[in-house]
Parts: sequence; C-alpha cells; structure tokens
Amino acid sequence: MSGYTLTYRSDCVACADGSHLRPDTLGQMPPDELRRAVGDAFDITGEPGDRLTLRGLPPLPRLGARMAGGELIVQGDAGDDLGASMAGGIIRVAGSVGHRVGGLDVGRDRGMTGGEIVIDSDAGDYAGFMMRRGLIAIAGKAGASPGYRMLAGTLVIGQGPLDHPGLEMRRGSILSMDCGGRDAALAPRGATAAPPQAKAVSMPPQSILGLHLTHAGVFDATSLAGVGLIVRRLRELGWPFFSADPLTPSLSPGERGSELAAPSRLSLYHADQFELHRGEVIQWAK
Amino acid sequence: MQIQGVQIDDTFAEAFRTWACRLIVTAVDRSWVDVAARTVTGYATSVIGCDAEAGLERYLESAETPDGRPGAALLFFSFKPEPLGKAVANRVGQCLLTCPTTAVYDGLPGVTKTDDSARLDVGKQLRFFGDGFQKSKVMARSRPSSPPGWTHMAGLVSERYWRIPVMDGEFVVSENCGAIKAIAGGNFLVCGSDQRTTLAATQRAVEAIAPLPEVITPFPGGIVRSGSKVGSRHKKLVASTNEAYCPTLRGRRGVTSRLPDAAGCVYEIVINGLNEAAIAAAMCTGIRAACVDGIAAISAGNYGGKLGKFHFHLRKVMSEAAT
Repeated sequence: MSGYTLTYRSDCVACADGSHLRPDTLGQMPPDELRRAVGDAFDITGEPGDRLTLRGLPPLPRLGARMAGGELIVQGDAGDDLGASMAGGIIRVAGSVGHRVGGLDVGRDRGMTGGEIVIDSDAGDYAGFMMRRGLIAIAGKAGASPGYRMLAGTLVIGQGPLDHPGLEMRRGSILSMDCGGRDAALAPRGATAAPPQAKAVSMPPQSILGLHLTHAGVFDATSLAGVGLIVRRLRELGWPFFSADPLTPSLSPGERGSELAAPSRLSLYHADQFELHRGEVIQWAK
Repeated sequence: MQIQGVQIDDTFAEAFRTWACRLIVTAVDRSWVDVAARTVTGYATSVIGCDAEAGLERYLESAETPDGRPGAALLFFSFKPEPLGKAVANRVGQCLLTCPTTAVYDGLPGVTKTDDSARLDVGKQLRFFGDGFQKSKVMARSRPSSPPGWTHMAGLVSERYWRIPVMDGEFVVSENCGAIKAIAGGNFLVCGSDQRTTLAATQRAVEAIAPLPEVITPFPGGIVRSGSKVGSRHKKLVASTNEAYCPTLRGRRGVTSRLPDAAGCVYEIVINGLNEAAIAAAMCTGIRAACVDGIAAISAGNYGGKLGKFHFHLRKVMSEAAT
C-alpha cells in the first residue's frame, strides 16, 4: 500500500488541530492539491495511496477524527481525541496518545463507529469514551476509566492495572491482557517501541474494578471463543504480543519439546450492573 | 485410451448446477474437530433423499482458522440457495451448537449477494437460542494464509459473529455465510475383477482426491456402491438401481449389461466441487490413482447428456491433464 508521508517542519507555527490530516481525504489528492490543503507546515514525499504517514508532529488533538477509511500512521505521539467518532480505516500510533481515544467528536452523539486504532504505548483517560463499534488496542497502559460510557465495540489494554474500567458501559468488551506482570506468557513490548513521551499516566497499584462490575468467574480461554477472534485480529494487526496463543495450548519457552501447556485463564466480569450487565470486562488471570 | 493398462471408456460424467457454501468449524482439538465434521456432514450423500450433500474438504491448521484453533473446512451443496440455507442452519443448530467447544465461521467471506451468489443466514437465526443473552461482535479478519487453491477469499472482511452462551462457555457462529453456484455429480466408475481389488483401488482414488481444494466426495468413505438410474418400474420411486452396472445381473433377460467382460465389481466416486476445473482435476487425480492391476476399465455415469449441464469426458479430462 503506497501513500504520502507528511513530515512536520519544526520552524512552522504549530497547528492546533489534526482532524484535517486524514488518509481518506488527503491520500488520493495529486501532490499540488495536497500542498494547498496542508500548507507549508509539512514536507511532502511519496505518492497518492490509501496510507498517510505523519512524522515529527507535535501531539495534535483530533488526529483521525471522523476518518472513514485508509490507514493513518502517526510516527510519534498523538494528542487528545485521537480517532474521535471515526467510522472506518486503521490508525496506528507509534507512541502514546491523550485522553478519549476513539471517543466522541464535537457535535456527534457517539464515539467511533468502526475501524481500528492500534497504539504502541500508553493512552490517557476515558479511552473508548462512548465508542459504538470497532477496535481500540492499547499496547501500554490506559488512564482512568477506560471504556467509560462505552456503547459497544472492543477495547484492549496491554499493560498495567485498570482504573475503574467500563463505568456506565452498555455493551462491548474491555480486555486487559496484563495478569499482574508475573505470567511468563506476557512478554514486554518489543524493544523497538518508542519510549512513552506524552503525559505520564498515573496508575493505581492494582486494578480498581468498582461496584458496577460483577464477577462471573475464571474460565479457560477456550471457553470464551469470542476472545479468540479478537486475539487473532490483534495478531494480524501486528500488535506487540505475548508469545503464547491464549486459545490453543502451546509450548511456553521452558516447556519446549515437552507436553502442551494449559490454556490461559480469563477472569470475566459483567458490566455495568446499572446498565443491565450486557457488557464485559475480561482480565487475563494468573 | 489406456492408463497403466486400464481401459478409459469413451464416455462422460454428467454433472449438475447446484449451489454451495463452505463452513469453517473449529474446536478445542483435532479430535473434536473430527467429531463435529463427521456429525454435521452426516446423512448428506445425495439430494435424492437428503437435505444437502456435504463433506469434509480438508482439515485446517490453527494458523488458518479465524480463532486460532484447529479446524476443518466443510462444503455443503443443494440445488437452490434457500433450501441450502435451511439445511445448513438446521445442521449447524443440531450438530455444531450442541457439540463441545465448536465454533462456526463463513468459509467464503469474499462472497457478496449477486445473481450468482448469495448470503445464507446461519448465526442470524441461531442467535435466538441465546434468548436475549447472546452478544454480537464485529471483527475484521484478513487472510494472509489462505489454504492453496481456494478462490473467493477476500483480503480483509469485517464480519459479524454471534456469541451464544452455552454450558461449556460460548458458541461462536458467523452471522451468515457466502454461497455460490457450484457443480454436483462429477463422477467416475471403477470396474474391477473382484470386490476386494476394486474396493482397494477405489479407496486409493478417494485418498488421492481428499487433499484437493474445493471438492468433496459426499458418499460413505467417498464411495458409492449403488449407482442409480432415473426412475423405476414403480411409479413413486424416482431413482432405482442401475442394472446395467450390476455384475450379478449380467446375462439376465431384459438386462443390457454395460460392464466389460472382466468386471465382477464396480464402485463409483461422486465428486461435488465449487467449479469445473476443481472437479476435472479431482477426476483426473482419482482416475490415475485407481488405475492399478485388477482394474479392467474406468467409466462414468451419465443420463444421455440431457439432464446435466456439465459433461466431463473422461478421455478429455485425462488428456488435458497430461498436457
């Protein structure tokens, strides 16, 4: 997949909003038209295509907002409201992102309605705020209340304890892949990942789940086949992953050549109890 | 024409236009995949008496399935999309929803609704078993590792799955599955000297066909021993034994035997496939494998060419494959 690369020029006055940098509007423009659209703030390389790569950008808010297709690659951090009310396509961020990723855009009544957001590092508060459909995958940590008022969709968080996940969520799935950092199946993110540069996320020492969650039990990952679909997709997206497949018993590093390891265990919570328990929070168990 | 000293008759197999869909069934391990595949494709030999013709196309490795578990690709055939959809939904509901650990996915994800293709509701109906506790999940899947020989595979599709709570966890099933125009009734006859030799040769042919993509052999063990003709002397019976190929009737008054003199046993392999090329390839592979000592001739079943749209001439199939 070909596309343009926009490299931000540091000598330029920072723009305040990134919502115009969309692959589905800019990606197919001829170069001269693209130059008029983005102004002098960027060096333009590449050719028309579905992919738009942003380099050297300050963490602008509203990157990928209302995006409906194509692939937006942010080589660095992104600001608040990344992918706000987006409807389709893929956003990849090499660094950290601000608050309300995949959340509500100005003038809209729901968050992202489709597409996929893959973040290599941390996210701020209220990730997936009012999201309706689609996938948000945060390889690092998430701030306060991920999945706040989520309507449906899938929110995956790779590391750290959760702070009040799924408050007022209606439906949808929140997956926490971190089982406390002691499971051999959980590997640290790839050494190539950029160090988080955005605001530090303050985390509680252990998950604060809240009274709105009801524990259903701990299950073999094979019992929740729907989780396998999510895991498979994360793998396809090249998400930095633990080595063991959570659905099929596989060999862990110490057991290579010996018998098969047991499948992962998942702790399942129904949420939010004041919204009829239709959503779910799934935590990888030790 | 002869192959390994076996006569290839100058005749053709007559096959019919049907509709087909592919389901991918996964389970916790290969043994449960096997149980699921056998159960859901049971009682599905011929549309003369079954709601569909079905069979195992091939087993799938974990990396080839949507949820990363071992699985199998199954093909189902029927004359029209509506009865096919009904048969598949019934079979999935009775044989896979009930089967420990299974999940069911669409095996033709690139197929959209057109004049030549359809979408059959599967999970869309079965979800009601969840009685309001079912959940849907829309998830994209791409297919970098399609099994070789599979067509109709989209690069990236977004699918809706239904997750139905059951006693061992949840049953995951695709909302609907693609169906395309396909072909049923490709066949050939293996005419041998005696039962044991002929059965062994025909089994060799079935084994040779088994790994090929986009085809199934729906009969028991892939083999038919009761070749039929259209109609009978009884008004209500639409199909009856084909006496011309019954070795025990040779020489009887009113019977015109079409068997070679040396033949004391005949077995047929029926091949259903997604397209002509797949069936021709399977016939060729199967015939080659069946041409061994003790086999007198390879023939094929047809109805004079008036009933079926597709004619697979044995000599043409074999000579085209050679070039």
